[in-house]
Amino acid sequence: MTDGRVAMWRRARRARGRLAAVIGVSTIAACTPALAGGSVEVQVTSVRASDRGPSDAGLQQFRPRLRRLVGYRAYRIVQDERQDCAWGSAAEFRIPGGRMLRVVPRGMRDEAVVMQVRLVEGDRKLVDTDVRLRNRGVMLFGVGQDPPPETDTSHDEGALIIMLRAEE
Amino acid sequence: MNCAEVAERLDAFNDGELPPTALLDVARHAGGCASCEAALRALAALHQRVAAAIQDETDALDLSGVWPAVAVGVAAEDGRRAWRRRLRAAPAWAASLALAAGAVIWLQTPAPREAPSAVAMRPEPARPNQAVIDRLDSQAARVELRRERKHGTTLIMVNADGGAP
Repeated sequence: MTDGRVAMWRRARRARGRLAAVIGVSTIAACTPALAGGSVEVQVTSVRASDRGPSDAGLQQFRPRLRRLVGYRAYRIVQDERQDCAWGSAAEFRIPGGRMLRVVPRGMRDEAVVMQVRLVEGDRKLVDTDVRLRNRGVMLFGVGQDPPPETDTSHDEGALIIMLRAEE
Repeated sequence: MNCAEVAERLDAFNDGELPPTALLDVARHAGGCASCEAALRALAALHQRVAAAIQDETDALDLSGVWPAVAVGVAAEDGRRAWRRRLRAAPAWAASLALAAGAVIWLQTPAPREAPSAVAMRPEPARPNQAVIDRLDSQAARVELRRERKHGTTLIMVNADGGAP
C-alpha cells in the first residue's frame, strides 16, 4: 500500500469518527430537552367565578367554555403571571387563597408539553398530576366548595379557576 | 416285462399315469398272465370302492351354510376395501372441499368499503386544548375531572373543604 493511500484511508477514518460523534451528540441533544437548551413559557391565570357581576372582557373568548365546565355566569381575572421555565426545573406561581401552583416541564412529546403540575394549599396537595398539554393549549384547575344546603339560598361563594397555558 | 415289473407298475397303470409304451407292455403282460390280470382287477375294484365311498361321503356333506358365510366375509372385506379407498382419497376431496369453501367465503365476503369520505379517514385533528392526564393524585375531599368537547379543554375540579375558594 502506498503512502498516499494510507493517508487517504486515515483521513476517511477520522471523518467517519467525527460524523459519528456529531450524530451521537445531536441524538442525545434532541432526546433531552434540558441538554438542548430552550425553555417553555408557562402562563397561569387565576379567575374568580361567581354567579353575579360582570365578566372581564379578556375572558370573553373563554367564557362559553368556562360556563360549560364550571357553570358560573361571571368570570374575573384576579391574577396573571408568566414565567419562562427551563426544562426539568420547577416554577412556582402564587395563587389567591394562600395556594401555590408548582409546574415542572419535563419535555415535548407529540406536540404536547409534558409536565408535572402540583397545586398545594399549605401542606396539602389539592392536585398532583402528570399531564401532556398540547403546545399552546390551556387546561384548567378549579377550587370550589362543598355544595351548600338546599335551604341556603344566599350561597354565592363562587369558585377559583386556574388557567394553565404552556408554549414551547 | 415280467410279473415283478408289472407289480411295480400296477398303481400307475391303474391311474393311467404310465407312458404309452409302458402302459402297452403292462397290458400285454396282464393279458397273458392270469395272476397279474387278477391283481389288476382287484386293484381296479378297490379304486372303485374307494371312489364310491368318497362320493358317498361328499354327497353326505351339508354345504348349504358355507356360501352364505363366505358371502358375508366377502361383503365385509369389500366394505373395508371401500373405506380404505375413501380414506386414501380423503386428502384429495378434503382439500377440494376446503378450497371450494374458501372460494365461497371469499366470494361472499364484501370487499372492504372505501372510505365514505376523505374526512372520515383523516385522523382526528388534535383539539387546541387537548390534555392527557397520565397521573392524578389529590388530598382534597373531592376531585372531579371534566372535559369540554368542543375545544378539548380539561378541568380538574377540587373542593376546598369549606375554606375560601
